[in-house]
Amino acid sequence: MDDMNRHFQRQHSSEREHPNGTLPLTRRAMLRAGGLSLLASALTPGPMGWLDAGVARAFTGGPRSSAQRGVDPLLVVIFLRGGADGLHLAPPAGDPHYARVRESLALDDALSFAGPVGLHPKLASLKDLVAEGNLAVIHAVGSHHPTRSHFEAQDFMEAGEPANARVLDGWMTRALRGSAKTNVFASLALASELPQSLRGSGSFAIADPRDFGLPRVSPAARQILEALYAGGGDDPLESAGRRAFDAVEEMKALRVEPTARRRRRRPRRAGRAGLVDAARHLAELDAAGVPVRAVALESSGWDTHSHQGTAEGPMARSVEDLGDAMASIFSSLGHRDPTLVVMTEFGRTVRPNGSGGTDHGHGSVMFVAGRSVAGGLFGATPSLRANDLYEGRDLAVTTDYRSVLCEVIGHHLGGDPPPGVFPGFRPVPLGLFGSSRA
Amino acid sequence: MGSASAFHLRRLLSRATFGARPGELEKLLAEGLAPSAWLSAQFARAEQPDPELDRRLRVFPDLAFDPAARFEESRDMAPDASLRASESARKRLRVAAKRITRQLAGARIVRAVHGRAALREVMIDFWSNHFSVFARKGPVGALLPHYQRDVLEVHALGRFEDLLVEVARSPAMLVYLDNWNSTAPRPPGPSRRRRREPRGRGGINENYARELLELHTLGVNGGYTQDDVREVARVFTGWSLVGRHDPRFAFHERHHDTGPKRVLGERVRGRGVEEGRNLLARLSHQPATAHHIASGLAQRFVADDPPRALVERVAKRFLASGGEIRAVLRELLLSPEFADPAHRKLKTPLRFAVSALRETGGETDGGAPFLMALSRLGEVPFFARTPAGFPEEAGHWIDPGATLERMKLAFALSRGEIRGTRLGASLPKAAASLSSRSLARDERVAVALASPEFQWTT
Repeated sequence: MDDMNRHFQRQHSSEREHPNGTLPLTRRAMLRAGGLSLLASALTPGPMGWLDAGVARAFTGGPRSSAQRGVDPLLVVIFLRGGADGLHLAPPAGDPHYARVRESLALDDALSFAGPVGLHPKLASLKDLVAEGNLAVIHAVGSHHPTRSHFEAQDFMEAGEPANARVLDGWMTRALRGSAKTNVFASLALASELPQSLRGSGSFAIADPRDFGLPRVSPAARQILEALYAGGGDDPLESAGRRAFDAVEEMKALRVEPTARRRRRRPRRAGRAGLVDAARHLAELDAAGVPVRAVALESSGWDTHSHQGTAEGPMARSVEDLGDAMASIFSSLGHRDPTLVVMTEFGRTVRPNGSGGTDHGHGSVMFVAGRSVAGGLFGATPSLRANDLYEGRDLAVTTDYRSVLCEVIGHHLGGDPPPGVFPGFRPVPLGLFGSSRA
Repeated sequence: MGSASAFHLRRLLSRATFGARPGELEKLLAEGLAPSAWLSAQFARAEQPDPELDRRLRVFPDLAFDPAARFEESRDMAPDASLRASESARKRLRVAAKRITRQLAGARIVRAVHGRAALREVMIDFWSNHFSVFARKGPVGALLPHYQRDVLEVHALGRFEDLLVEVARSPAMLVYLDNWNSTAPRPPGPSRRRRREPRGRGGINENYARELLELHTLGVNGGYTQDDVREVARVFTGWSLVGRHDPRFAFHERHHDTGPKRVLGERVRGRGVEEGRNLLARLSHQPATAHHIASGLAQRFVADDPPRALVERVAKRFLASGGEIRAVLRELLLSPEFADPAHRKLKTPLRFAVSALRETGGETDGGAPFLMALSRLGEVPFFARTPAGFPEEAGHWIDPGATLERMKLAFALSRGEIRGTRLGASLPKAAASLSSRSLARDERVAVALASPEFQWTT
């Protein structure tokens, strides 16, 4: 919706200048006591159940997780909508078939990363993360479900149960259920709409936190309005209303005070994906003392059917935004020991199509970044030779995305994932957390 | 008139239009109009002139924009050119497309609020989500006037097959789903023409073919395979634009893949452009398509999870009528399921905002301030980011942040803070249950519009 907004705002920015009841943010350090002791008790690792020792180790991570160290850890999940071309994000340029099968899309100036796999040249802002061994690249990863429909693939992936369209909540919701829910902002999406991964609980979607709040309203009207939403039962609309009022109160309790004047920043480049803005909003929320624990960020524009470009071009700009957003999360939120996950619904065809783009494919790439992450390359690197491709056209899926998420959840919660996050799924240990392999 | 029939009429005004205007229901009840007669009257209105609406739409000169005729603005219109055009030409194009888009979206709001053929406006909105295009992809914005005027408006209540064909031929869809540059692979070796053609060796682009099957016709579980997607893409090779400076539909024989093709287990008949035409005809009469359209309509008008028996009846009517949209709507909107009070439907943001204006007798010029307000709620015509259009299910639109945004819009409207848009003098129905003491009138209206009750259709 960012696009929508920008489309109309330049000419009419006055309407946006000082909206009533905006979330006022200040750089002032905020009280953030209270939640921690509660958190620590809830995060004691539970029994490992059926998990064998190796898996258990992978889940709890080599070094003590941030929760165990007493830091209030932050989980950030970035979903690249549209099916991001993993072979562009992390090109296996060392594959002897790479240049030939990728034809005009072959990147000849990929940044070196690990083994045969490099990084897109526009991911240069990740160089510190890479150098410090804090970036894991999982190659040929995805869902084994064969769908090439964006909508089906995203729903299955975020619900966490491929092929089951009846799952109503999301994997993040189920993962966080039962963990200490310290406040209404514990899990939220910095987006205009709640993604499937966060559905089914009290999570929030906030497009721009500076605009968060009630309209200007008299006490009498507010009282009536609150009463209208106080109706009992589990009507989703009324409970959303109740949570909205709670959130407004919570903001007040955080003693977040209005900034004298809202800082106005132009979007860096008009029409660009809002990922960098969202990362900034996240930092602002943190600085204002809003205790976010898990957040979903959205990035669109990855459905590169035509003129995808290589080191330059439309996709390169999205890639650069992604790198910048990731780097900015680590620079501004490093004290929260963030664990960052980048995922997408599927990859794209290995060979370019007739329009210099790529069509819907299968395997893609995932990034996991964080101070406790064992940097390096994970997953198999299947050959790009025509005979080895999935259905003769796509990168195969050799690692199930849920194996990656299981380890991330385990690390984030400091224990094994609560049962039922991925029903019936048995993860394969990867060892994403621990000492670096890079 | 029985109370069941009265409720049926209320529901028609709430769901088959963008909201009842003041006194509208009372008038229908006084006349003793049956739901079926109301429907006939709506179909008739779609054929009649609406001078009042035309007058309101005069503020949008770009509704008549013809990119082919406006060489200066359109010379760099062809998507292929977007990479090559000079910076200033690109900027000109962006500015033009942006201005046109704003006018087209604004016109859709004005039509929804003020159009006499209210059901047709609802169906234009339905088809514009079913056949969604995103205004911000390449030059799509500049191609919207044709799409709105000659595709959506003309065929919204016509035959599904005609609509499907016109969408397939529309420059907006050809560009949005990349079919304009899907070509047969070019034989190797130098060619005299080569320099003037898109770079690369040519080849198909599956984007349109996949969405044609998944979204426009059969549905995701409609029984097609990846091989079908590829074959359909081959069928539509050559369906493109006249040229870089002339974004009108053209079929380019030399880009067409002339080999035999099989789709859904059958050979595609005809040759050249007829192949695509025949395939669209075949797809539009498939049982899976009938089911997909029926369930989309039932979801739009009856319930997020519509009764299966209803969907099957509507699908049957679709097939029996040869895809006559009016016959299908008759089956759906006169069904007992439609008139069953137990089926709730949340208003999407657009329906919420427009119904506030309609119920109070307000008006809007569809200007940027109103579009801005709508965009904060997440639904502006032509701005759905995905080819699936804006979602219909309540779950997509309900969360605390969204509730606060609706409250803000309710208060902004009641205070007249949105330039070019004002509520009317009538109280919305939801205000009836509010005690009026202690609230100023504008706050009473605002609270009514912000209430849970007003977020749901009747």
